[in-house]
Amino acid sequence: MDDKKLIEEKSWTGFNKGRWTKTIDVRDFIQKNYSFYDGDESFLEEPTDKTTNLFSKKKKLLAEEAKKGGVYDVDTKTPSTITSHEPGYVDKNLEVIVGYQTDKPLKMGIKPKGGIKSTQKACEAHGYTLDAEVKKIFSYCKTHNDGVFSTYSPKIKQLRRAGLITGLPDNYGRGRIIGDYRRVALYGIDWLIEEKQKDYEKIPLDKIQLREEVFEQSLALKEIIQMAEKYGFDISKPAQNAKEAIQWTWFAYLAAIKEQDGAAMSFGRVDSFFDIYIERDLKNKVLTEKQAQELIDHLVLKMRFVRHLRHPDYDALFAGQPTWVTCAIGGMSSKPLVNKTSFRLLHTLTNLGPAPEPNITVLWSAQLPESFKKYCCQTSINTSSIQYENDDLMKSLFSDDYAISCCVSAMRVGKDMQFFGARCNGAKLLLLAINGGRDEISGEQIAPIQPIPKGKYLDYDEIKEKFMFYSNWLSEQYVSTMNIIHFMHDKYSYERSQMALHDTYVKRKMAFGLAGLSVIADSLSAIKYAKVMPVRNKEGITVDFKIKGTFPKFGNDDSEVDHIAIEGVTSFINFLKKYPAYRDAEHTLSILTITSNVVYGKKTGTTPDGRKKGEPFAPGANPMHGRDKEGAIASLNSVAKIPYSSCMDGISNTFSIVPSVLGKTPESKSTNLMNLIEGYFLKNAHHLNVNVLDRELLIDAMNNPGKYPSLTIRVSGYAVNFDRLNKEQQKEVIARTFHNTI
Amino acid sequence: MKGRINSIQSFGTLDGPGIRYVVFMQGCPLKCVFCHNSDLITPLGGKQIEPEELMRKIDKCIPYLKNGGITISGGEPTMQWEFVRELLTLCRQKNIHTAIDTCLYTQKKVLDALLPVVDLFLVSVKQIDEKEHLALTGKTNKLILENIKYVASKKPVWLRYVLISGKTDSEKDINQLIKFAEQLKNLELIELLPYSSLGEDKWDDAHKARFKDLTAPPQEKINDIKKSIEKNNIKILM
Repeated sequence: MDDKKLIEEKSWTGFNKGRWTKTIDVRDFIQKNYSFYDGDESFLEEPTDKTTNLFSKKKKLLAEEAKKGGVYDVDTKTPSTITSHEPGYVDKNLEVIVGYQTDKPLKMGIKPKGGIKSTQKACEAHGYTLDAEVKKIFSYCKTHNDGVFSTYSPKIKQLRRAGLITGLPDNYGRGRIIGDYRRVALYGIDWLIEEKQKDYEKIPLDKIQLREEVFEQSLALKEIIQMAEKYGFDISKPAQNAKEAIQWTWFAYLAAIKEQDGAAMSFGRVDSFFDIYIERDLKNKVLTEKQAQELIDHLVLKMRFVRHLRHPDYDALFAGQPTWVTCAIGGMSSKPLVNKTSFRLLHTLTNLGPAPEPNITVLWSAQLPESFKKYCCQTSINTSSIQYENDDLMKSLFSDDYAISCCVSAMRVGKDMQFFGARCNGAKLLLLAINGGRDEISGEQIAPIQPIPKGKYLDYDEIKEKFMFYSNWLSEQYVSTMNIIHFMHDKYSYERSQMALHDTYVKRKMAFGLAGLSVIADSLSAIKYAKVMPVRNKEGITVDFKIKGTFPKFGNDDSEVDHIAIEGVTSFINFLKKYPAYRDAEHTLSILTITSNVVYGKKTGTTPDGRKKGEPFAPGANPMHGRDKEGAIASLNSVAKIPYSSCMDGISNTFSIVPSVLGKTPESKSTNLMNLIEGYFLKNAHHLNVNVLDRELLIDAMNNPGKYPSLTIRVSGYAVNFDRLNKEQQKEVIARTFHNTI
Repeated sequence: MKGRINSIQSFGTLDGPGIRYVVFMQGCPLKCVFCHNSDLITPLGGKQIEPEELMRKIDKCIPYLKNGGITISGGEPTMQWEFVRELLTLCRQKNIHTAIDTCLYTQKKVLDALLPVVDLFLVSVKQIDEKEHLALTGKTNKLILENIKYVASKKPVWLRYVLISGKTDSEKDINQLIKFAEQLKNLELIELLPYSSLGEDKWDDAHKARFKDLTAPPQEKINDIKKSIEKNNIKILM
């Protein structure tokens, strides 16, 4: 037996063999080796002294960071690469898992390959000056941002300015890609390089782009080995125990976030994977439960310290500096993929308090053990830090080794990647239909001219037809924009280390987005069921609407209006699909706003549903605030009708409830929440953010910044530290429907 | 036949076990000083709906009601007993657990009509003492107490009792309550509801002036009451 075999034998002792031992197949490894746990949380351990000490040191650093306005330090001299920085520690003796993005925790690196101007702007916004040498070097290099703007058409720029398509990843990293970081732990990097080289040799010479990419992937893998060496680890070989498995995986992820500052840099799905290593160590009595929890606690402490340098425009779209270190847990295979490490990950919210990161995402199935579901719900009630997604829905499409990118975006780990496309403003699009293609704010003709609807009242059929016309027109523009962005991102800012942890031949998705769905639905419902009279200014632009009569509103389980929402999304994805996407990507659509519902609202005039100019939209697929009149279930049922088959990039719903309304006793509160989530997913819904909070607490927190340093709240698809939202966003969160009735 | 309903709460958790689909019926014969829903007292408000139409709405919520069910509240459900009976019959056909939240100020024939379709009676008893009851609600409780005993001999009952300082919380009040509860065959628990002023803004000024001083007993006293009832092997929900 050669050396390689010997090492593998040692690393893999005690594991059941299978396909995975011959070829890269982490899923097969999990399937052959994981232990389903159907007990309760009573086995869980409190934090160790080491954890407590490390955590208190880290809390001090976080407090300093907050005092400095959210940016602790910036290295303005060294463009961040996998190997650019020396090792960093908070306290070498306390850290069981090591590795930060730069040589100091919380110190941000710069990633000028995305765009030198936005890097400079970001530095300046936080009181730093970008190093002259870096500026000089990049005066010779083209960046992603340069590439995009050298090919954007005047029309695209106009639509971007008008806020019809915004938040596009043309001046920040597209992110959304999840490397299969587990591969590094299971196989060691040498094996991965070998496999990539074999693939490379087989790629035909005319597939130039792919050949170059795979070549780059191999280089990146070598650099990951070097980075780990600086920390004193040899990750060219497989991990031999749980601690190494977690450390190796962390290094692989660390390489990604050193190289890229994508909006969402998700961690993937690791609970079953780590659990197999932990179980083996527990069985061999080389690890105790206390130490197992310590490993997970320390990993999570690392995730909570991920930082990216952002500029102020970015913060408006993605408020509170989210990094979307999304971790999916649970879900089903032939039996539940619930194990003790799923519990341990949830338990970090108790051991280390509530926090926005990692973005813990429970893959919910009706068949998961009740003990697990209850523990999730209890933790939700205590921390408001968890989101839930329907595994029964996603598993049928993505099998049992997919993860969630960002908020609601499912991808098979190591097999799918996506081109992130932010979102377009659906409410503004509807106003184009009413204004003959003119922007209702600037009066500019931004879309093809159409006759302005005649008659005192708006006619439903006419407006709908025009809305479809403009949806089709926008789709073409939107797809072209995305094609440009992703061509250039591949060219100038390719995710070499993340793609190295994918199969060479991946499936690509192009993820489009639509904001303001409930505004569109209610507006069209008003036009259809009530009488809506447009009030036009001298230029013929509608500035207001007079509504006579009542109309059904989205969020009341009323099919008359819910149907309009369904039609809206199905027609939009069909229009998008008409226009071919870069690299044969599959078009997908999300109903997700992040916090852009506030900025989008600002850029949108008064709408026929009665929403006034500048007022925020509801987040994601939520009904508009206060319009859901029949309680939470009716509201959930409306959202559940939005078909996932048309919105395969996810349908986000944020649910906020006052604790006292969830039930009378702690036991009934968690059972009721469990049955609520279960019912929602049985209705084929996709996603639910759960907040269990008193509105008064939020108002108090808004008026007294710093009083609740760990107050965490779920917004559209992610959790955020409440103090990190600006006043406007805080107000919007407080204004949302909080289900509270007596 | 059509029923007159005031509103719907599709996610109720405070009116019976589990998640409840709560239908608030319009109209009530009493005029309790602690009424949370005084806009429901008049029999004329609300909107009219057929049982089948309401059932179609409930149907869509069944996946959520695993440990819960439907609760007909109000208002006073027994005032529209024919409608309620029809609706609950439809619910039972779908295996939905049924409860009514009632003061039981009604005739025995109404009870006989409802008993076969109701799984749980949530009965609000305002006062066991007849005079005090009259003062609080404008009606005597003779009929009510008789009715409670009657339904409790046939179906599970939760007694709901509002604690108002100086009105319903004296030792004598509580002892009478315990004594009465002990006579009920299928009593599952007593739910104590400390008075809350949340419903006040719905009252007219004259009413407000009359009852503006109502408060819940102090927490300590509530705990004592809870203990003294539990001592008699009666389960408390609070």
